[in-house]
Parts: sequence; structure tokens; C-alpha cells
Amino acid sequence: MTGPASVLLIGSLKEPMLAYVNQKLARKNVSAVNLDFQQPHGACRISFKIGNCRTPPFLKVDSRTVPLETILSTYVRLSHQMTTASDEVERAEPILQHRALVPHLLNVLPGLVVNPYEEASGNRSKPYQQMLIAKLGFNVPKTLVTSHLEQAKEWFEACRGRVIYKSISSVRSVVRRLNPEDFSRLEHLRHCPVQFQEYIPGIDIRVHVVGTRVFASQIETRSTDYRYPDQESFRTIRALELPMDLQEKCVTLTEGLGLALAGIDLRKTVDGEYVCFEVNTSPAFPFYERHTGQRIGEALVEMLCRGTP
Amino acid sequence: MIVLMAQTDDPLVQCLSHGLLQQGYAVCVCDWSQIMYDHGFSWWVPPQAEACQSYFLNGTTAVPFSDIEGMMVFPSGSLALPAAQEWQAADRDYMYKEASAAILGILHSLPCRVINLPVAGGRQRLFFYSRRSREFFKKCRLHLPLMTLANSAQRETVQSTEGQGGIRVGSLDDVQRERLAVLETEQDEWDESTIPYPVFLQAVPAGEIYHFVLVGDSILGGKVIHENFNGSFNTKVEMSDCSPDLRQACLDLSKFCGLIFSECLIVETPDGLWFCLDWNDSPKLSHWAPMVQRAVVSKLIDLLRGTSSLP
Repeated sequence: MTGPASVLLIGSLKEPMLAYVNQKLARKNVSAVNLDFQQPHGACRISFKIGNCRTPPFLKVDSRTVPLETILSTYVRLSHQMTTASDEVERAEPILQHRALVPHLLNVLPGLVVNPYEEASGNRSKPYQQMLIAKLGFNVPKTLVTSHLEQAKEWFEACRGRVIYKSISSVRSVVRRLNPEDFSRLEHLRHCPVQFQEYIPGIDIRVHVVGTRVFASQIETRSTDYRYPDQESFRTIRALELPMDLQEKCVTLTEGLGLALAGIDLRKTVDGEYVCFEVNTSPAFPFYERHTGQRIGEALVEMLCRGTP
Repeated sequence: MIVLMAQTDDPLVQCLSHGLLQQGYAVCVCDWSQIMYDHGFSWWVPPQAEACQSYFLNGTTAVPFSDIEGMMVFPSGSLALPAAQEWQAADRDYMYKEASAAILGILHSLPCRVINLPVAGGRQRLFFYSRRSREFFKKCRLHLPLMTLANSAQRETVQSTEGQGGIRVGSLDDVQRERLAVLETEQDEWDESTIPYPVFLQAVPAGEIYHFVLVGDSILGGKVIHENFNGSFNTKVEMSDCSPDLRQACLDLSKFCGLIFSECLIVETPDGLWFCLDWNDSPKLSHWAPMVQRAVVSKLIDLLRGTSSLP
């Protein structure tokens, strides 16, 4: 090896998760290299050599040259989604354009990448990811994605009024119950399809998988979306020991989705069954750590330093 | 029914549509914008009882997903937002992401063959350079030329990329804007300006350049006429033979990448090494000889009908 081993951090160090990991790496005296795509275009010059090189391939960040063989792992965290799709928003945002390099880097970087681009993009379409989750052995909720208001109403009737709605993509939305009062707004479906799901009562469980380590938290609340408790609602979050077979299933799911780090959203039904709603491919876990005392960040940093899941 | 997600004036779509109709197939040509914003759809996940059959509307006709025997997606059929004025940029961005998310899921849920099935996050411009592909390249005895990726490029970036056959420069973020060029020698051709967007700079090895179009288990193509080569696929090709091993390597790679219809540029060096310059998942046929066009259309029809197997 031609230099000290390092961990590559992609994103702004002002972003809480990346700052958190950076701090933990510093405590372990592990060298971190930061690629900040949040900076205005041109503020950070990045070049990267791959393919048949006469000299060992390297990554160059401003004037710093990092031989690729010294990169143990990469952790990426971008505060906004990397999409190359949308027209005028994209054009108006030089920073987003500047980030077009990120997917390519994530595809070609050596070592452990948390998480690889294509695999991490799986939850950009929740129903697409849901199909993968079902193939990997989890129960998933019955879902309707539609742009037809009649179908949404019929689905509401078929589910006896127990329906929630949420975004189809990974854009964060508050999960809400569909009520007859919402029907007047369903005409907007013709401009933007919506995902409707059967409401499944039960207890929320968030499972963080870091490589092969599993950290589960149980969340009890009266809110439909535990992330947004109503003012009147209580919310308790505590660490939970999952049955061993479920822990193994969560690790298998994470591996099957090609991820090294995942935040799995489960609900335990009144019948004791587990239903999986989605898998967050870039989970913000310090919130759960604060409530449960679990050392998820520590496990992540250990994995990054190890360079294997 | 065969569905072609495209604009009706797309020349390849017209050929396919005509050929399929002649063979007695029902063909539906529409684009995603029509489905998402004009006609509508309903999609149940996982598949439900008969009363909940997933479908989209083509005009007023319902097309159940279970009736689709084959689908081909074209760039001309990509999603575009309606030009309504009342939406703010953020709303339009949200609408686009939601519809795109629905499209990815729908395509992966179809029970029929889809040419070419998209991947989550979109297939990257240089997907064939990925870590996974590189492993496969080794198995196929194909090589990847040295490449520099950069978020902007200056003379110094270009100088560090040494290509005996020139340096191929292209944009990473937007194919529409792609300014492909082959610089003969970096010193002579590069001016003092900076390319302000993410680019790739590829060292082109010296040798014969081949351009192939791959469709199912068939591969057609030949040598690129050098004087005409500007770094893109849009160049004249002289039909010629090449090593059967090279043809098989290209077919194996397209299968590995999950591509049913694609094209590639390969350089064969004087010492017999094969370097892959580029791989494209949306080939255009306009610059191919009519004989090649007819062969490709015929093969695509077989694939859409499900009568032709994959390699």
C-alpha cells in the first residue's frame, strides 16, 4: 500500500450524519477524505482515473492525490436527492449538475461502498422496492398506485376505509390515513399518481442493519406516521431484541438488496406477523441511538474501517 | 398486444409497428406522459384478485398488464411533464419523481419481456466501467481503456490522460448536451478553456475500431471508417468480419448487463487486445445500412413476440 488507509466521505461535512461519522473516524485516528459536492461548482476539483493505467489508479481532490488501493471504504450522504431527471430544477442548480459525477464514482470505487448507487436507488420507487422485499421473503402491504380517482375510492371501500397514502418515490412525505373528506382532492391524481396502501394496525419496529449486526427499536405511538407524532399523541422508543430468525431475515434482506447499511421499517401486527413497508438505504440513525442507547454509529464506523460488511 | 413506449414519429417505432401489424399483432404506441397525465393507470402490488387487474388507458381503451406480450421502451417515449403554467418548479420536480417511480415499478412488474428494462437510478452513462462489469470484462478478455472522470476539466486533466489513438471527451451528466470529440493530441487540440461540467476523458488505444449493434443473440456491424470517427456512434461503418470470439464476448457482456438491444464501440489493437470504448442502451438505426436496419427490426419483432430466445 502506497499511503495511509483512508475512508472516503462523500457529501458535506456540515450534514449531521456525515459530520457524526467523520467525528467518530477522527477519534479512531482514521484518515478521512472528503468529497464535498455541496460546494458551488468549481470549488472542489475532483478527478479520478480508472481502467488500464500504467500507474496505479488514483483519486485527486484539489491538490491531494489518494491512491485507490488505500481507500478502505466509502460512505455517501447527500442532503438532497441525486436525480438527473428533472428539467428546469436541474438546469437552475449548478450544484446538482456538479453532482452528476457521484453515481459514476460510486459505481467504480474500490472497497466497501455504503451504499452502492444502483442498490441505494432501489427505494426511489417504493413499490419497486416492495416487489424486491416480497421476493426476499417478507410480507408487504397490499398497495394501489393510481392516477384514477374512482379506483382510489373503490380501493378505500374494498379496504373498509382502512387506507393510508404516501409518496411513491423516496421524497419524504407524511404517511396519512385516507378519509372521505379527502375525496374532493382525489381529482389531483390526474396530475400526479399516488400510492395507497391498506392500513395495517400494529407496533412499529425500525431495524438498522450494519453489515451483519442488527439493532432494532420499537416505537409506540397513536400517530399514523411515528416520525410525526400529533401534539396529543405520545411516542415511546425503546431498544428491542428481535427473534433470531427475524434478525437473520433482516440481514438477508439487506444483503439481497445489495446494501451494507439499511433502515428497515417493519410493523408487528396484532397476529404477531411482521410486515415490511420499506427499506431506507441511507438511514439517519442518531435519532434512534438517542432514544435507545444503541451504538449503531460505532458499528458503522467499525465496518467502514474494516472495509467489509 | 405489443406496447411500444415511444413517439409515433420515431422511425424505428414505425418500422416495428408496421412489421408487427403485418404479422397480425395488435400494437399500442404511446408515451409515458400520455399514460401518467392524460389517460391514467392503476397498478396493484402485489398482484391482486381479478377485480383488481392492473391496467393503463390508451385513449379510452384499457390495456391490462396481463395482455401485454412484449414492451419496448424508447427515449422518445420518456416522461415529460405537461406544459401547464400553474405548477411551481418544486411541484413539477415532485410530480416528475413520483411518476418516474411509478414507471420503474410498473416496468419491473410486467409479466412480459421488456426491451430494455431500466435499472433503479437509471443506467449510468458509463455503466460498463462499474466494479461488477470490470470483473466480467476480465472473464470475456475485454479491456477498458484508461479513463479520467472529473467534475470539470482543464488542460492538466486532459494531459494526464494518454491515448495513442486520441482522447475521447464527453459529458457525464446529460446525453443531450454531450459534446463528444476525439482530440488527436492533447497539446495541439486543447485550448485554455475549462469544461465546467462533469466529463469523461478516455484514452483511445490505436487500432481498428468496430461498431456493433446487439439484438437478442444476434450481433451485426463492422469497422468504423476512421476519417469519419468523431467519438460517437453516429459514424459510417464498413461491414466486415471480426473474430467470433470478439462477437461472443460482446454478446456475453450485453447479457451480463441485462441489455437486449444495445450497441458498442470496440478497438482492436495491433497486438490483438480488445478495448471497449462505449456501450449504449438506446441505439439509433439511421446511420446503419438498410440491410442491417431490416435485420435488427426483424430480430426485435421476434423478441417482442417472444418467439426469439436471448443469448
